[in-house]
Amino acid sequence: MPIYDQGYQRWKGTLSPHPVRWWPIVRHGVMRHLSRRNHLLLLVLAWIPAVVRGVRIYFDSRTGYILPGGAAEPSYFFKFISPQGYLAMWEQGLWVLVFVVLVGTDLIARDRRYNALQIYFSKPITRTDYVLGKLGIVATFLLLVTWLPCLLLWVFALFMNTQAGYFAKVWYVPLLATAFCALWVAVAGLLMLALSAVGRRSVFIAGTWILVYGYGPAHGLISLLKMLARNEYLGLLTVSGNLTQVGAWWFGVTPPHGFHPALSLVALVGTAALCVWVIRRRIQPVEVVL
Amino acid sequence: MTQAVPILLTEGLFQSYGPKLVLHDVSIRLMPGAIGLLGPNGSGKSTLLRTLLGLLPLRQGRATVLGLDVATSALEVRRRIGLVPESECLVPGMTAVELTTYAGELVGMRHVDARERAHQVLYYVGLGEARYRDLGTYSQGMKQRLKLAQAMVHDPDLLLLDEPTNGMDPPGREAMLELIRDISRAKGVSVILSSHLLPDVKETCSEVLVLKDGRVVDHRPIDRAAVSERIAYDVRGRGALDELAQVLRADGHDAVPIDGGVRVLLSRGDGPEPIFEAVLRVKGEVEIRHLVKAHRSIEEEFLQAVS
Repeated sequence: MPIYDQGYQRWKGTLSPHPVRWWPIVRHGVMRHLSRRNHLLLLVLAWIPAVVRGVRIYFDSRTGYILPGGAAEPSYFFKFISPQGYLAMWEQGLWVLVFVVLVGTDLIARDRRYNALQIYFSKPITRTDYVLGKLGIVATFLLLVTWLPCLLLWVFALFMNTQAGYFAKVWYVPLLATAFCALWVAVAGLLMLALSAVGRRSVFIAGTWILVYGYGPAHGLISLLKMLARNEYLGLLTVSGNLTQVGAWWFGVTPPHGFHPALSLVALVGTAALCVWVIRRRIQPVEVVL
Repeated sequence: MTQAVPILLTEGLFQSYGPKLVLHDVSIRLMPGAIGLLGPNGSGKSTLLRTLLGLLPLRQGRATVLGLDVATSALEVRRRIGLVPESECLVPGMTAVELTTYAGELVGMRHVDARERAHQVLYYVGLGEARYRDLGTYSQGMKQRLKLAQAMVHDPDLLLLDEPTNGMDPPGREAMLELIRDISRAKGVSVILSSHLLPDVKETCSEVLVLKDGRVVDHRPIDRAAVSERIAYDVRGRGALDELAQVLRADGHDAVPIDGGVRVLLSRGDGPEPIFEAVLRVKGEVEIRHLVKAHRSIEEEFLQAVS
C-alpha cells in the first residue's frame, strides 16, 4: 500500500485563528532567533549593564549613600536606555544596534529574495498583518534589551531605596520608559523594515540603517558638521539624534541639540510615516512586471 | 436532496494589471472535482488564480469560491483553499517540518495541531524521511512536494496548483500526478490544476477549461474532449487540396493542412457531404483517394481552441 494511503486523513480540527493574525509571524521569528546559541549569548551580554547597575543600586542602598548619577533621578533611567550610548556597553543603545542588525536585515529581504511573500499572501494574512508580524520580531528583541531591563531596574531601585519621597520622584518612570521605548522601537524597526523591503543584500541594508539611524561614525560626522557649520538643526538629520532629543525632553534631561525637542518628534513621526509608505509600496501580494 | 455548491463561479469577470486587460469577461461555473486550467503562457491562468485568492481587486464582475464572495470574504476564501505557487518560494534555513507547521499556523491552526498535521502531510507527499533536512538541500522535485504539503496542511476544500510538475524529472512528475489524482479522487479535495502541459491535465482532471488571451475558449469534460462533438475528417489525395481547404473555410468549416492532405472539422452535420459539395465547387482538379473520420486527441482540441 502506498505510504499516502496510510498517512493522510482529512483533518477534523477547527481553525481558530488568533485574534491578532500577525502573532504566528512574531512567534515563529522570535523562536527562530532564540534557538540560535549565539543570539542567546548576545541577549545575555545585553543584560550585563542592567545587572551591573542593579549591583550598584544594591550597594548604594546598603551604604545609604546615593552616588552622583545614582538611581535617585528619572534621568538615571534615561541614561541607561539612551539611543546614542554607543561609546561603551554601559548603555543599551549599542544593543539596539546589534539586535536590529542581527534580527532585522533579512526579515523582508529574505522573503523577497526567495519569493516567499506568495506563501504568506496565499494564507489569510493581509499586508498589514505581515508588516506588523515582522515589526513584532524586531520589537520583541529591542524591548528585551531596553524596556524590560529598565523596568526591572526601576522595580529593584524602588525596593532597595529607603529614602522618603523616592517613589514620588520616580513613579512615572515606567510610563516614560514605555512611551519612549515604543517610539524608539517603532522608528528603528520601521526604518529597518523599509530598508529590508528595498534592498536584497544584508550588508547594504545593515550599512544603510546604521548611516540613517546615525550610529557611530555617522553620529560623529553629524556632530562635526554641526560644529563646523554652527547649525544646531543638523541634529535633525539622524534618527538617533532625534530620539535622544525627545527622550531627554521627556525624562527632564538637557537635550543635546539647541532646538525644541518637539521638532525632533515631528521628524521621527515623519520618518516612521515615510517608512510605512515605502513598505506598502514594496510589499505587494502580487508583483507585476508590465 | 441538497445541491452541491460550485467550487468556483464567475460572472463577467474582468481583470487587469494597470491599463493592460488580462481577463476578459470570464464566466465559468465549476463543480467539485479536478479541473484542468489550460492555456499558453500569458493566457491569464495565474491571474485567474490570484483573483480567486483575492490578491487582486476585481475590476469588474463577480467571483465566488466555495460559495464565498472573493471581493468581500477574501480571508475566509484563503482559509479554505491551498495554493501551490508556480515559482520558487521556499526560504532555505528551515526544515520541511518547520515550514509546514508555520504554514498551518498562518492559516489559524494551533501550534500543536499544525506540528502534528505537518508530519502527517509530509509523509503523505513522500518527504517523511527528509522532513528534518534543510530546504536548501532539497531537489526540485522535493521542493514541489513541499509546496504541496504546505498548501494541504490545514486540509483545504480546494487546492489551486499552479504548474505543480515544473522542473520535475519523469518519475517525480509521475509521482506528483499520482498524488494529485489521489487528493481529488480519494480524499475528496477539489483541485484546479493550472498547466500548459496537456498530459498533466489529461492524467489528473475530469474537466478542462481552456483560456486564451484572457478569455475562456473551451470548457468540457476530459472524456468528451477526447472525441470532439464536431466531426473531423482527414482528406488525402491529389490536386488542388489547398483550394479545397479554402472553399471549406469559406463555407464556415475549419480546414488545416496535415501530412499529404487536409483535416476538415465540420461545423455542422456528421456526414462527409459538405466535403463533396466543396469538391464540386473547386475550380482545379481534386482527386480524393483517402477520406476517414479523424480521432482528435485533447492536444489537437487544445491547439484548435487556442489557435
